[in-house]
Amino acid sequence: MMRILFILLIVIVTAFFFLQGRLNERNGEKPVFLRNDELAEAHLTKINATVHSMYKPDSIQLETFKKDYSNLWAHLNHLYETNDVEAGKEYYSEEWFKQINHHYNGPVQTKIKRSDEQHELHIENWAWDGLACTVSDSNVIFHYQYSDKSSKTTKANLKLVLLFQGDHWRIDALRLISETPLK
Amino acid sequence: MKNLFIHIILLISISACKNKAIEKPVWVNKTDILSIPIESLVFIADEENWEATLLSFTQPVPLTVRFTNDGFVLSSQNKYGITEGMAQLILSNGSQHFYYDLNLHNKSFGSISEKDYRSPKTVNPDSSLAQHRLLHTIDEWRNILNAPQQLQPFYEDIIQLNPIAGTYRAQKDKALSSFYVQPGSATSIEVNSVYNKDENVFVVTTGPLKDKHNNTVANGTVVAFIYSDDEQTYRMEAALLNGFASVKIPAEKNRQYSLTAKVNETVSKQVQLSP
Repeated sequence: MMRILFILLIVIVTAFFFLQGRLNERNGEKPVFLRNDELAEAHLTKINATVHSMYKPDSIQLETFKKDYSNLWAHLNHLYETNDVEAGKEYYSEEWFKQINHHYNGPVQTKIKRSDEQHELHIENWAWDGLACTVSDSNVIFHYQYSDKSSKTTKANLKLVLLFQGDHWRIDALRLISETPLK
Repeated sequence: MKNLFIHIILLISISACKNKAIEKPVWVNKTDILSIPIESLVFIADEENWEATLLSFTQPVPLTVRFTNDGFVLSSQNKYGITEGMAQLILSNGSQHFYYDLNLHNKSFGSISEKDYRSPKTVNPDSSLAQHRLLHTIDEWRNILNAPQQLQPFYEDIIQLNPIAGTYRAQKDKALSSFYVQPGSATSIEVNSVYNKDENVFVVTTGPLKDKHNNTVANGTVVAFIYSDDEQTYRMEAALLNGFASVKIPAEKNRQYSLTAKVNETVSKQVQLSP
């Protein structure tokens, strides 16, 4: 009798720990290389790059840079539309992330959808170790779609500082030089 | 007649279901250049339940709405700056949105950072003291500024570092901007030996070892002591500490050694060890 009770107790304890393990929610964030960046994958833009810097990126570095720059704009457009600061954090430097969080009170629906159609990228400086660069982005064509179906297209000139950190080029600073509507 | 009456009733019902058109609020103290943080933007409006968002080039920024008798007043929710440049003010009431184009300008730069990226981070006088320097200036809100006395916001050049070994910072308050000038290789090696009668050993010491810029050669650099008698050659090694390295070589009666110390390709003069 005692033996049966003892075995029953062990079975209950084992089942308890097993179920605890199964029911525990695992909220851990997947590492970035296992995550699927749907926003970046869906984003399409045209980037022409010209290098003016003292040190030049090689072809592989330049392709990586253009890909990350395109992904960055997917997230900047998403941030513009929704104030979702989290989605693009892999493309923001720590200081940039801190700055956009100063203006975060939760997601917002601005009802304006921005898309970047074309970039003329001028790499002004490229660090000897390939970990920092500055760019001028000229004649960027932005298309804005409003909730009332109206739209506008603008041409903008920008300056950006980007840092290569943790497998990505990340925006660290920006200056909007001009943005004018296209007729 | 009956059908006509039904149609009229239906038309009236449809028009009754339609949202009442809301008039665009009148911006009393309208300005084309808006200073951030906003103190008060005054609007006259008939309706209530307005929401306001300032859409900067980077992100939407919610504003505080305070209703008054004849409209509402907008102000910033905090004192932080924003991405400067073209922006839009969005006023929303239910499903209706009104847009006002404007230009944003921060009242203050906040703290200004003069960024100075250096590469390579480590230089050695044996190879080159040249370092690439990339300069630009950023305000606290991540807007790129024109550097003082520069027309362009970005600047780069190659600088020659001072050959004195040490750890330096490109930006004094930023540990992450540290770079390192390593000591180079020894240019000459001096060897001294003393016979210790109590232990019956030769105490052989080298140092201080210096590079061509008079920096003490790096700790841990291996010094090889190669000594030989008439029959065999022996080798002992010791690591430099503060420019000095020493070994103890057992002495034997009536046996003499000739010794040289070697660091990479630099070799000392030969010394004789005899009790």
